[in-house]
Amino acid sequence: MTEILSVQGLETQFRTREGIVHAVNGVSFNLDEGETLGIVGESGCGKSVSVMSMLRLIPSPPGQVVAGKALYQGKDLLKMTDDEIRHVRGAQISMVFQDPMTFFNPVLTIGKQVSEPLEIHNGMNKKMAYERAAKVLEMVGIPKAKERLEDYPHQFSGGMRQRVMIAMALITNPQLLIADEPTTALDVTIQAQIVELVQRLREELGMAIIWITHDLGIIAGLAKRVAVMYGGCIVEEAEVKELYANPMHPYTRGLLGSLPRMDESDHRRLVSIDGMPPILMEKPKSCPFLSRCTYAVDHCKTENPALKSLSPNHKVACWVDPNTGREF
Amino acid sequence: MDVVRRLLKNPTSLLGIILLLGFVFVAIAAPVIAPPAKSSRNVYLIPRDGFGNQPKPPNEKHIMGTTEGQYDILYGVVWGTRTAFRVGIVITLITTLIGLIIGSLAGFYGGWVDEVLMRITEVFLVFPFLLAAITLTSVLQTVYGRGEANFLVVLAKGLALLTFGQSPAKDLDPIQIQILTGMLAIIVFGWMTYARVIRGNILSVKEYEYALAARLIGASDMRILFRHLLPNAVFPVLVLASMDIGSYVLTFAALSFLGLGAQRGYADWGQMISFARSWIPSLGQYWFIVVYPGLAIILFVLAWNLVGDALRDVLDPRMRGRGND
Repeated sequence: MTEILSVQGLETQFRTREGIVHAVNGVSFNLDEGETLGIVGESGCGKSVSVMSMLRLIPSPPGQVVAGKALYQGKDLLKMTDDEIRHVRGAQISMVFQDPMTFFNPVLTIGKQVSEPLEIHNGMNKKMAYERAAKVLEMVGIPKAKERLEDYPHQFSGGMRQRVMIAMALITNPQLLIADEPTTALDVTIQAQIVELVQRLREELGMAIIWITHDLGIIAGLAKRVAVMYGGCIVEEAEVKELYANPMHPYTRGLLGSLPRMDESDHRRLVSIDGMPPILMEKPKSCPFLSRCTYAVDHCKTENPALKSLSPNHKVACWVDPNTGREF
Repeated sequence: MDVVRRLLKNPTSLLGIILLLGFVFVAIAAPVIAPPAKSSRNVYLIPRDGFGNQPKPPNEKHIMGTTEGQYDILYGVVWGTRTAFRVGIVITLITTLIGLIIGSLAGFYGGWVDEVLMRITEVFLVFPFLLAAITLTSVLQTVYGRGEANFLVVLAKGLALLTFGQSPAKDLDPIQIQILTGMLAIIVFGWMTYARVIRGNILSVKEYEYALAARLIGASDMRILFRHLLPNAVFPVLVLASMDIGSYVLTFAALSFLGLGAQRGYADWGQMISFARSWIPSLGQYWFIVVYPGLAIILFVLAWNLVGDALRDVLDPRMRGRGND
């Protein structure tokens, strides 16, 4: 498989009145063509900021990407001119957001908005663009797609809007789709429909997907690999089955332990992770999970562990082997 | 149309619309209501019936009477409607446009662009509006009189094209120059409120996710600003502008009254009222000089205010369902 995206050592900071917030601290990951990568983590751990930095969508000021590379098909997105990156956004890399209610411009019809990427990138005339828009809307399961092009966003339900958002992202046949918590604002039955839809579209169109979520359940059915983020770093990255069967980072263990499971026979008390996620006012010198970790040893206080490979398909950033309780 | 239906349901806005339609009718039917003399050089110059100094009360020949110099008041009021519409609408269009461009650029780009544009706006706001307009008008008229202002002539020609539909190839009509300078002065000191309002609104709508969404699909700055943000931010300015059409006419009337707007004998309400200046001690006797054109101004301003108010009620969701306050 050819590599489509390679993010290396990405660091993003926000300058606020209280000081510099280190939102992303050296995130690295790769993505092959047609592959699906899940990024999980709690709110504020830097999932969204990482991908937004990659696409240069961080509002600046206060945000700033201070280090790292984001090679898309060998070209660094972070070094492109504004014009170049505009032709990547929406044409080759598309994004789907969490909130389908605020994503659409209330004063423009759905047809105008869905066909806009074609107008911008392919220079299509309105008629052709609308025809294609109707086709894509049909593909994502909007009934009577042709007529609905003339409707306004408020005439669609939340689930429908999420479908329309996906249609809009896919209309230019992008090579990479970034889905930033696309199911969080939807109720569970609609969530399942959207996940199914994305799975189907992935088979039909063959694009790579980065799926950001804090829902470990959804990721299990979708992604091939999962990266777990905490405190602006990737703390564990593994193939899906490996991660769920053999979580190696204490945080991943905590996350999985806090989930109810269908396959457990006895009634188990759900475990929560004590403490609060760190506020990243300075670049972490110790492990960011230190204060909440039950496995912590002295080494954790002095050095932030880097991501290291345990096996070809499993990387973890921890000094301690949680199975033995000793350092690796 | 939902907006139109709701406008018609509200009695005050209905009154405003009826008044406005009335004025539109008078403006269109002016040649029928007050037919100009065949020999008249410019239909906007009020015909005179002799040169006597004494104003004459309403009679069969002059339904609203005549002013000093025997200008026919009815003729002036009727044809003045056209002047009012022209002056009001053109000034509003241009000031709104200037305000929209400056305000949206400031709000959208923020930073030093915002800083520079808003400080300029404030400099213009510092001057008391009417005084500034009066001063600028008299300065401009002197400058035009000397005929040495190429750039200003271009501006005036553009304005003449918009106001009178006069081809820019032709020389400026001296009858129009006075009106154009007055309008220019009002425009120069009239755009700031719009700029501020639109800036505030752009600042707020650019934080919405659809602004990010537009950036995400690769839209350029101008596309994001004018296609996605401005349509969402523009409604308050439209309301403001519709109300201001009336007040610009009022300001222009003030200039005319002071002898700085339309020239003597031109069909303009403010100019007509200025005829009353020498007769103020005996206005009880010569009330018709003031009342007819004055009434026209009052009703015209009222009409636009009612319509603007109603537009606000209809377009602003926060005001919906609160009744007519």
